[in-house]
Amino acid sequence: MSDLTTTNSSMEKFSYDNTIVRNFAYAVMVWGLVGMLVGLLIAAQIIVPALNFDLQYTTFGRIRPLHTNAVIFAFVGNAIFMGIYYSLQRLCKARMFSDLLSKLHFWGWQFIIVLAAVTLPLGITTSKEYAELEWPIDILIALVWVIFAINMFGTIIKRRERHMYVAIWFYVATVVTVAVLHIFNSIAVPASFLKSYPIYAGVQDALVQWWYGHNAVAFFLTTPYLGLMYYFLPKAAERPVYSYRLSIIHFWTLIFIYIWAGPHHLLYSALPDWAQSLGTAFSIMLIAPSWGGMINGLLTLRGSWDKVRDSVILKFMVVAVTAYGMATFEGPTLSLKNVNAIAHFTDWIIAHVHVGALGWNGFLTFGILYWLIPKLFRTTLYSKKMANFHFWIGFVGILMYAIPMYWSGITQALMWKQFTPDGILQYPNFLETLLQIVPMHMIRATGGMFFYAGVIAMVYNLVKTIRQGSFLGEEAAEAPALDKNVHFDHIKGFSVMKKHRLIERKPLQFTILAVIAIIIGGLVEVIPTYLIKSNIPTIASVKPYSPLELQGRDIYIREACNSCHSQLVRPFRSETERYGEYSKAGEFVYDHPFLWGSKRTGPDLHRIGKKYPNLWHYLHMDDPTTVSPGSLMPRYSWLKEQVLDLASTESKINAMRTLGIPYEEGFEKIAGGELEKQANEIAQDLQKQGIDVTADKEIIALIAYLQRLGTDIKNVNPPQTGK
Amino acid sequence: MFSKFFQNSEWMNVFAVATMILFMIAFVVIIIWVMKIDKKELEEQRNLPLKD
Repeated sequence: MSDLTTTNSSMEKFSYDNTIVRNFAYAVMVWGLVGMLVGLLIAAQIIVPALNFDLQYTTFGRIRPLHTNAVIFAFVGNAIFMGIYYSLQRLCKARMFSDLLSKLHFWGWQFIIVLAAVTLPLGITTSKEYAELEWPIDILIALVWVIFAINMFGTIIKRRERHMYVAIWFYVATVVTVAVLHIFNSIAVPASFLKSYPIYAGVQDALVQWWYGHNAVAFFLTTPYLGLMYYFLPKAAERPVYSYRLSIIHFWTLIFIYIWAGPHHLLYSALPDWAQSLGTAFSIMLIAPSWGGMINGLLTLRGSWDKVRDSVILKFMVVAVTAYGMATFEGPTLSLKNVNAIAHFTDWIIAHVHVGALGWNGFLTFGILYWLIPKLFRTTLYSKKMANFHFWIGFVGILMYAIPMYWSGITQALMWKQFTPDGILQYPNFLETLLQIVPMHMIRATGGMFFYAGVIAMVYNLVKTIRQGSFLGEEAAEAPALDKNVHFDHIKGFSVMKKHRLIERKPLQFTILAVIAIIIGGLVEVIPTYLIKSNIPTIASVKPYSPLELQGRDIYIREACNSCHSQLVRPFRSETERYGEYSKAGEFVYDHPFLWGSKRTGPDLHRIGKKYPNLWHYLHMDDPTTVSPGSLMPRYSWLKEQVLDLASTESKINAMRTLGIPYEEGFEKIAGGELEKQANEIAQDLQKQGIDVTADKEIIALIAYLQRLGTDIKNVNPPQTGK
Repeated sequence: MFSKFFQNSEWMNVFAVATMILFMIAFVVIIIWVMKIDKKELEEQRNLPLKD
């Protein structure tokens, strides 16, 4: 503060709370082991579906969101909190605002993770990617996030350091944006205690979901980690960040641009074209700030690259920052429509995501843990050799994960699109394209095992480090009190510049500016989608689901069929030849939630209705290999045993009517009868063909839903645009 | 008036250009701001993580 006129320089003594940092560090290690182990299991299930052990609770569709939630919100989430609680106290020269809030935050977050670990295998899910948890847990997440926000802003307000270092800017942007994203994407109408329907439908739901999904990557996996990079990389390298100017530009441009790019997840979909183009344009622009951050990180090591040779921590951090650069170049590339046409729905996207997740989030977390744990326990790392082993096996693991997935993705795309010289599909059986990439999936799983072996080595190494050290829970510190009377008269230049300096030091004004930068993009994308009627052409023949189809749809959601099957035929000849008429926006107006999916491990199902007889679906769900030899889909044999929950029909119809679905008043009272009538028709059809099944089984409802899919517009005129 | 304005999509072209201009203005203001920051002050902020 040498350039500021201050009047108070008396030193104040206080202590940093290291206990909360340690607790989050323990949680990172525990949930990292759990989440990645589930990842390994699902990687193996794609090759050998029987590895669900014929249990519904361990089936791919149910535990795939368990993996994503565990690694994103448990492993990465706890790592964010660990890093923020450590760095924020030191950058603010203040203890956390409230020890009670810190504890509530920690235990509240762990409780949410446990609830996710229980509900997701039970099939309690909204089906929305990275937002699968049902409404009571969503409310709990919001409460715990508010606790974190109060604790963070309270600490910033009572700080003893006048400047807010750029890492804190990233933390602030994270806290406010995640809150906005979570609230708007989670608004739903409950049908029961653990079942709800989002207020958005079809195309609008897709836009909101991927506005959320994309920005969950941006503001949960990226901005907080950039804040951590700006703090921990200089600490580990023992030199300041390369360019503070660049970091300021990096921050403001990144948060402004990121929020616009969500629609690149929906290219060639039924989303209005203008929204797709906007998403693409801003995705390309995103390269500039992202690479600004990467270059700033790497150049921090200029003149001291020799340290990287000796420091395993810097090795992890350098690879992390490089992976960030690769992923943020690849992301905009994938958002180009011609590239997206090839890559979307394929394993290429899985490779892209994991370069970011394993490289950027994983390796930066490991680097921070190796730096932090010895500090907290006042000792040295137990084994540098083991840490080096972790680095190399983890690095090889990433390569063995990503390369076969790129290979697999391109193979899939080429096979899906290949025509014979006669103009017919070269590989009309989707299964052929899946079996072709099994070897790549095997190498991927092996790469995952390598990465996991490294994590086990790290946890062992850190536990030994912890045991040989002595924990410093209360770290004494001192700093002069913050002088409230600051004068800017000495600053030359425009008065507006002085105001900017004031804002940079004032958390409230700073936060308001950051929120404005963030919400502009969101509003621009979402509001017109609701207001412009021609965006969603209505189709007269599209009707609401029958009660049985609605129940069947909820079973489809429970089993997360959308994890492997899309419901979106894109307007390419290769897709219309394979699946049928391309999907129209107006077909989804009653879909709460939309179920377009993001990956095709199996074929698209939007036009599956009436394509096969009921018997085919029954046999296929009971044992896919009976009708599709060699299929890698798991058995869903419990569907023919379990009885459909008829009692929920009335509340579901009521909830749907609240959302605007045109069920007539009083329909909920007769819905049960309608349901039984339709179920009996399907059951009788199956019984005639020798199947021993009753109308009250879950499989009957699922068949009803599948037979309805995509049939509304068959044999009708093109949709009418407008009112 | 606004409801009529929002019910057709012809204004989207203007809208997209306006948002780009908005971003460019914000970007230029940030660049000017960053270039005007006092070097000494900047150096102080840059070194904050190393001072705790």
